[in-house]
Amino acid sequence: MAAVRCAFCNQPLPADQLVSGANTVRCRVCGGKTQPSIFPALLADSAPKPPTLPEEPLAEGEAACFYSPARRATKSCHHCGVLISDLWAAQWGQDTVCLKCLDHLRDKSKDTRFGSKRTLWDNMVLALGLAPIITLPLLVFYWIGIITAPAALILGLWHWNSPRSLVPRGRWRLITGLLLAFLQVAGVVTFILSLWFGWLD
Amino acid sequence: MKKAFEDYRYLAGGSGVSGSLWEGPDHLLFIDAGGFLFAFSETYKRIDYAKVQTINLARTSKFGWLAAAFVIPVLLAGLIFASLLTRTGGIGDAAIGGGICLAAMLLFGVLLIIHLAKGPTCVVKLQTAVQVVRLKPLKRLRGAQAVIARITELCRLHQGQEAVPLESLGQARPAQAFDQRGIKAPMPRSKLLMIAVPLLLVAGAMFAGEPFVAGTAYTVVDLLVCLAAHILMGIGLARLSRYELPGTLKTAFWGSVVNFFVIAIFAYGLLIAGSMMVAAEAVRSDSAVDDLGMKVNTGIFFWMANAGFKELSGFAWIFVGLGVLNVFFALLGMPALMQTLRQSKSGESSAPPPLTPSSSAPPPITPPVTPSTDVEPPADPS
Repeated sequence: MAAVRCAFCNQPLPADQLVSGANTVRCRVCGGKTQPSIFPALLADSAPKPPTLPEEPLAEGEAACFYSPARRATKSCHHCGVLISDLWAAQWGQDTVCLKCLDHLRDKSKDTRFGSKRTLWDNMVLALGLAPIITLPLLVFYWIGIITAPAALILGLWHWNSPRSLVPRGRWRLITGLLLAFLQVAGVVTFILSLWFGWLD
Repeated sequence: MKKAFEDYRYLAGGSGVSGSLWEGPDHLLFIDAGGFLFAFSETYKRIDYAKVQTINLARTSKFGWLAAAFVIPVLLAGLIFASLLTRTGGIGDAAIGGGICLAAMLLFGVLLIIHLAKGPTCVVKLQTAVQVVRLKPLKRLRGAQAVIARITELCRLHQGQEAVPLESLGQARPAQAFDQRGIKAPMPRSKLLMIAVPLLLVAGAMFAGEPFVAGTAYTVVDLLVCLAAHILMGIGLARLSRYELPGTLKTAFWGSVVNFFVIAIFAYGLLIAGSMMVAAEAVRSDSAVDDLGMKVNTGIFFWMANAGFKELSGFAWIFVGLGVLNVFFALLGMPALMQTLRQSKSGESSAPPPLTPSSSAPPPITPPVTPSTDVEPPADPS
């Protein structure tokens, strides 16, 4: 059932207020006021439904779906080229891809059009490099740099070439994090050496 | 922040934890960032303009709360600075304190001006047939309205300009309209929370009263009530995690948990102070140095339990403040609980709505993971 949902609690907004053309609609569950912008897709019943099986068996010479041979092939995958039925096809922008390719492209491939998630190693290195400075006012975490600085160095060098955000950006975060971590490690090493060799005396 | 890359044009947001919004040729790209202070990961959500059903905008009260959070430190620092200026000795020997007050006034004043200049806050949710996505980069009303206008234009371009006949919208009752779209049902009444939140209120009030009331029994009861309130509230909220919990209730719980940890840190400081006091007393009386142990430990606890304004001087007000903060969090959670109570009395949500998909929608067909092997794949007709 088509319903416009409250911006606060996600519960359906009262249809009578929407029909009356009110600009702001009050939710009956949480009392929050929402300004909805409604589009024709709301009533177009665009919820995905699985395609039904063909009533008649495939005729001789008719192309069958590679994954479900009982189904008639209607499309071909733009990525791997196999013939697929509607059940196995996904529309991705201008492309039609089979579900297996879609899964592969989203999880393993580096194709920016399909990528679903990325870990931002550059931000992680920067955060580790800054951790001792950020936690300095908390006094109790003064020792944290002993763990975070080497971790930042290892992560930064290991992921030097790893893809960063989908939005192109430079390496300044990674370099800053590495520099900070290097300075902290160098400071600790110098301190230990100075104790060892008695430079402070 | 780049203004364009590949086929995308910048709409809103930044590289922080709020993520960003980008206008694509046929879809909207929402970069949903995850992390704390820094974005450690990004999830990419692509929403076809042709599939957007509604965009819901609502003003939030965060604007007022944030303004208050900035105004209060400015006023407090101003008052302290004024009191330093007007005292008989002048500011001379309290120059450092005065400087800190001025710096705090300046910092919070600048934050307040920036906050006011950005304007009212809002929440924006985009709805399709299968999901409701909160567009986190749209946090300020002014910027959000401009972006919504642009998205609306693009959606109209892909869906047509005709008016939506809203008369055909169903008259769904909120509690019954819960369906399989991954949207949680409203929270039902919880007996555990009905006990926990008032207990939290009592614990806060008792904690605020610690410096005024001496006695070990009072402290022990206060600690037990505080622990019981947090344990019950944690269990209650965990049991209700499959329902849509009111934001105020979640804020009340997490706020009181953070407050509890601050209290623990403060108590730890007090423990150190107590042990120093007991040790000093022992040295003065030449008696306790030889039997450091249970006697000393109980002595420290008794000192802590009986510490008042005399022993703690100005720090006692921190106790009072932390206790009042706990009372505030408990009061914050009360209205949501009262609402669930009212709803259950009126019978609207006494029976939780079903968590299974509604019968009107056909069950989804799970496609096989591997190609079938019983029939050979057909040859390419071409």
